[in-house]
Amino acid sequence: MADNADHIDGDDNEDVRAQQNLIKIKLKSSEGGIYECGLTAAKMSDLVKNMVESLGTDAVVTTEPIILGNEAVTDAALKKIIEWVEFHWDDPPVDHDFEDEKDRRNEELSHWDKQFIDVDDQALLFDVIAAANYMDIKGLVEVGAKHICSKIRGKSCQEVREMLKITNDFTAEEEDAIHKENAWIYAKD
Amino acid sequence: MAQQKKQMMASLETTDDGERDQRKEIYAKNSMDRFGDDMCALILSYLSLEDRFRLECVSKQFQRTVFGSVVDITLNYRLIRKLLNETTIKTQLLTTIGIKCPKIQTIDCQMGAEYEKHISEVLAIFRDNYLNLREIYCNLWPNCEQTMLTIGPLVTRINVYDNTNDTQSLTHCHRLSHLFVSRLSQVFDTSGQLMAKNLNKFELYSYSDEDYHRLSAFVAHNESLKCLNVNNNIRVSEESLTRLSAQLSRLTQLRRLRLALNITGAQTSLTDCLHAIGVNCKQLQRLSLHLSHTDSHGFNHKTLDSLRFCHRLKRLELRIAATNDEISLDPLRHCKGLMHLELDLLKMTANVLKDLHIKCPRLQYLFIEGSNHFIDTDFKTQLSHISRLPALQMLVIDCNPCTDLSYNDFNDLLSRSPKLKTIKANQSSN
Repeated sequence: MADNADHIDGDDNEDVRAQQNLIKIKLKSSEGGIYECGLTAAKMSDLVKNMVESLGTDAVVTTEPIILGNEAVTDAALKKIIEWVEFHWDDPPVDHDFEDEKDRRNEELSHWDKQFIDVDDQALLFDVIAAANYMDIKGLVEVGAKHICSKIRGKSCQEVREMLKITNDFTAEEEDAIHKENAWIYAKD
Repeated sequence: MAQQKKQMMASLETTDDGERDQRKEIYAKNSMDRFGDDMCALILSYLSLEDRFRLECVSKQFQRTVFGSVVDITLNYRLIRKLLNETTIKTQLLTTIGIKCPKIQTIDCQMGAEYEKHISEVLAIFRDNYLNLREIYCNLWPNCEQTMLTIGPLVTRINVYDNTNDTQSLTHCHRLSHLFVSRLSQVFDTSGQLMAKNLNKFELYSYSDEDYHRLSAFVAHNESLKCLNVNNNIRVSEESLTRLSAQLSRLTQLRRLRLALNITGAQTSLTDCLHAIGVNCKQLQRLSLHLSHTDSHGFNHKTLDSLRFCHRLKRLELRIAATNDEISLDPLRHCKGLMHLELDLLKMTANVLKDLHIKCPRLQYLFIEGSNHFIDTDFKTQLSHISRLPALQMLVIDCNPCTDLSYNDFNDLLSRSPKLKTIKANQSSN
């Protein structure tokens, strides 16, 4: 009986989430652009979720937009982020009870996420990741991190520096020493 | 209220810390140098161990952040070959890895028999140099008794293969959580005492009715088991299936269950078995049934009725290799949370998928193994049933080449289905 009631609650919850996503709230980027987003989707951001919970839903819906002041939240980044949460808000919750954290980390990105995150403009890519981190959207940060790691997998240090525009702050001697130490990893299989 | 809100807005606008502001002046937005160490560490935490070593000298920031998130290490063939100097283990290297990755908690060395002769030595190095080591996954290997005496308390996962007769070392592994064995007799010591208690996951390659008393003793001490796989296509009579299901129904904490059964005799015992599981294993989230029947009458449409009790089911895999009747998925209408469905039915008519969108509104993944009994006209009807699934994101069809699958059919499906993003059609070659 208890199980049954529990189950019905679960269904209700799903419906409430769907209902609530029809409510639109406004998010304001650091550049001043204002964008609409479904409430349930927006609450995938723990930052927004906490705001909504402390201000009350009514206040958020009827008054000024929520300001996301971090410089990484540009107009373009915020638009990408809204696209992502609007696609993912009804994802099933992660089953922490018996889900293998390692398996999840190693899981390849879905087709949709791959296309979503594969943007040519690297400044935008980094903005999206930094903004998602600021807004505390763990799933999206993971998508960005997995994407970068898949791009640098198997590459040489120099290739990675060029790709991610990283300054090499090692002296030639230091670099040489690390290379020697890690020589085993470069050995042929 | 308004006051509070104003304050929050203000605090959000000024979250940027001074450090970041300085960074903004120095680094270009398209450079990864813009990220602080925490962010950099988080991104690099998805790299493999090999890539981490390969990329250590990209920059000082990489060097600082690339190893901190390594919490486990898997000694696969590739890595082991790199750790071998001709035939001896590079002790110094293994120690260095431990120093660079001080947070390693878990070591997975369930590698093949080829390297078994090194395992004692490798584990000793880990034990002595990896200070945060808490869990070891390994196989039992010949003459492992001595090593197990010292590392046993760290071992949480073990595979025991068929050729391993001496399993006495299991007594040293008090914290065992995952166990794979070929036969149930392997988890009992020479005096008949059970060596594996309070497991989380148990995989059994083969089971026969002779093991019934052992199974009963095992279940009595593992009632909190979360995952059970009975892998082999075991042949069970009606009576033995009844006895097996009596034991399964005591495992009320099961989250995942996989059963591969070849049933002889009347199919009512299977219906009863599934009933016992459905009524008692209320926590079941993943169920995988591989059923075959020596009797050509096989199963009828009532066989799966008891799935209606599995309210929490999220994933279901049905592989049924004998039936004259159509299988009905009607009971699934009670499993509203079902998201992942795999079907391999000997008789797969369009009726099976009819109204699936009403029964399983949350279905995100559907796998269909097409059989020889596939009828082309049926297939178009099936696709139209599939197109109604509101949450479907991925469809995989593994089918016989004689089926007339056209690119247009799939394109049509993609355009009609609201959330479908990926279709994979594997045409088998035979």
